[in-house]
Amino acid sequence: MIESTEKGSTEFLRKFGYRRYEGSVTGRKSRIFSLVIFEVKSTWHRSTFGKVLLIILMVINFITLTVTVGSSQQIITDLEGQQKKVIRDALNRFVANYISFRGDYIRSGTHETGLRMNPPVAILLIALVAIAGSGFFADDRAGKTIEIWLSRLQKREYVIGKIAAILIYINLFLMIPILVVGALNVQAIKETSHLEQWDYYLGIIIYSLIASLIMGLAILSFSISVEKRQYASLGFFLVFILGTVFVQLLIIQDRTNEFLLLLSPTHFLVLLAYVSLGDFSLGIGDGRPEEFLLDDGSGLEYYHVIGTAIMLIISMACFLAFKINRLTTEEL
Amino acid sequence: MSEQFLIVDRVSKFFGKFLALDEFSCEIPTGVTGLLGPNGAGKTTFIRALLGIHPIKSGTMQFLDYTLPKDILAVKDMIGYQPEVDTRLNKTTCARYVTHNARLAGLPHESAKQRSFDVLHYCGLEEARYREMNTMSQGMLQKVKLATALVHDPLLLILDEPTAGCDPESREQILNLIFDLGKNYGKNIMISTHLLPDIEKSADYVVVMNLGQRIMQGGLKSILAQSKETVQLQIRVSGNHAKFANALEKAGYNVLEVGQVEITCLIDGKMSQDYSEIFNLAKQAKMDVRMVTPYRQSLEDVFLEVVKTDPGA
Repeated sequence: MIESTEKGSTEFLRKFGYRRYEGSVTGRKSRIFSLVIFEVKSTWHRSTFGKVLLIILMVINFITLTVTVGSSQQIITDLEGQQKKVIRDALNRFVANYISFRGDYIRSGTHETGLRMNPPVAILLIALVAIAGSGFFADDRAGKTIEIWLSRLQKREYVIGKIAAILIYINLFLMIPILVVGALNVQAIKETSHLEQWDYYLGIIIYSLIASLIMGLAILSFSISVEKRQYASLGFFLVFILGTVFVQLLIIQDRTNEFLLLLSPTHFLVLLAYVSLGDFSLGIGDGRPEEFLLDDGSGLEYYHVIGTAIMLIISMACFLAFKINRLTTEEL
Repeated sequence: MSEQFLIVDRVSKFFGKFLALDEFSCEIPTGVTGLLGPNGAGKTTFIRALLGIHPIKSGTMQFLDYTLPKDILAVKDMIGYQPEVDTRLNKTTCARYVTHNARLAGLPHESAKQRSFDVLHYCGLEEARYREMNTMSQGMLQKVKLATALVHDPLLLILDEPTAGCDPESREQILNLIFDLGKNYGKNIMISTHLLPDIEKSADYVVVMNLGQRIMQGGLKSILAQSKETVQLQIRVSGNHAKFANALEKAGYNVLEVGQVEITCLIDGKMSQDYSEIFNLAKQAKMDVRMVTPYRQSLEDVFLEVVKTDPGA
């Protein structure tokens, strides 16, 4: 019989009682994995808008795929002798411009490939990233759950869980579609094979991981800086869009300064894709493009792109570490 | 009182230049312990230091055979924590939330779901387990927090203001749960609260802190029994109160107040159980004694007294 301190409803106590737990306990890695799964699932559950965007993204990718299969025959007939280079350039363009607002502004080579395979999904992708990661810290702050999580996990386990979750979520709509559509593109072009293009797949994986890490850290930085997830989403989205537009205006003013491309989020990700794919012979400009080499020893080089990526990752990681430290002490 | 399972030895914690814990030491035995102190005393900082959320600057804490902060990972698994703040996740059911906490505490997936179901039932939320947390009342959220703290069956439950914001019925239910866990299931519980009647109802042992230091600790009964040299006595008689007060004063009693309802006087603490002289005086004055009650010192009185007399306060 359960005792009661005073008169009051204790019906539920009498009915059920307390049961002890005598089962097994998992290791630390399994707990981080649980946090990752919970965050990914929660992101999916909480945003209806995100679900709609993801479905639209998949539909557009499917339509693009069917168009690609048709246009691949065009290469074979028009560009006899240069097929392999043109095919690879076309494949690289698909990866690099997957997340670009400016279409073929920076392209692989200066020639026309005749291959049309880029789906207009950049704005959807950016919106999805903005929605996906915005609540990771903002929801914890608003719901005041950080103290609960930290009573179970160490600070570093908590942060690793969050970063792993955003990487998985972004790559669900970045790496996987690029790999799938890229592989089907290769399959559709008779003049090449999957084995021949192994470095293409490796480049996609490297690019997706680095790009998702940069975008993930950026959205997490916004998420940890504000209390409402909507503000984090909006901040990330505006920085991405307005940053691209602003830099594009600067480029129009000064076409000779190639380093301006690094300031634009879109152009930087495009360059990062080409560098990850090992493609340094690019063309730049609308209409008839000018030659733009990333390994010619002058102006913007491939290592500048790599350096910028590393610098961005380190600086955002430091900012996150600083903010998390504050969040778990003074702001708790 | 049982053995001590948590020994805190000269723990200091700074926030910038602010000293939140000033060589704080205490010993906490098994059973239910109340952690008392005014706002800013350092109670929550101490709890967070114990959980490894706030790193400490100096000192050690011995939890059973584990030394903190060195063995913090092992100790985290043995503690269930209910924080003071309202924790809620939007668009998340309480069952999902509690299950997630069980997973973070290291329970395998199926066990976590089963255990979440069990503790939500135990806390009286069996019918609300699939309700989203943002639609819940304060009382329900407190129960969800308690279920979350209990889900991995911890050795020590730390409850920070467990009844804050609750309506009387929810408060009573939560206190019953705490009482049940402590008395019938032998759970070790540390309760930090401003509601001293809650501590009086459920705690066996009390630690009082102020300005980051311990100012008192001991068994609840022994603290309440620490009576003063004199005891206040409240007397109610059938006739004229003023006349009886005069008789008391002539007999050597120190009458403090003569009210319309009762007379308050001071007697020697050692004489507090012997009222025969008072009855004799009433008989001589041809009056009936309706009530003689020594004023019972509450935990609140003790708390206010020790905090007031603490030189640091």
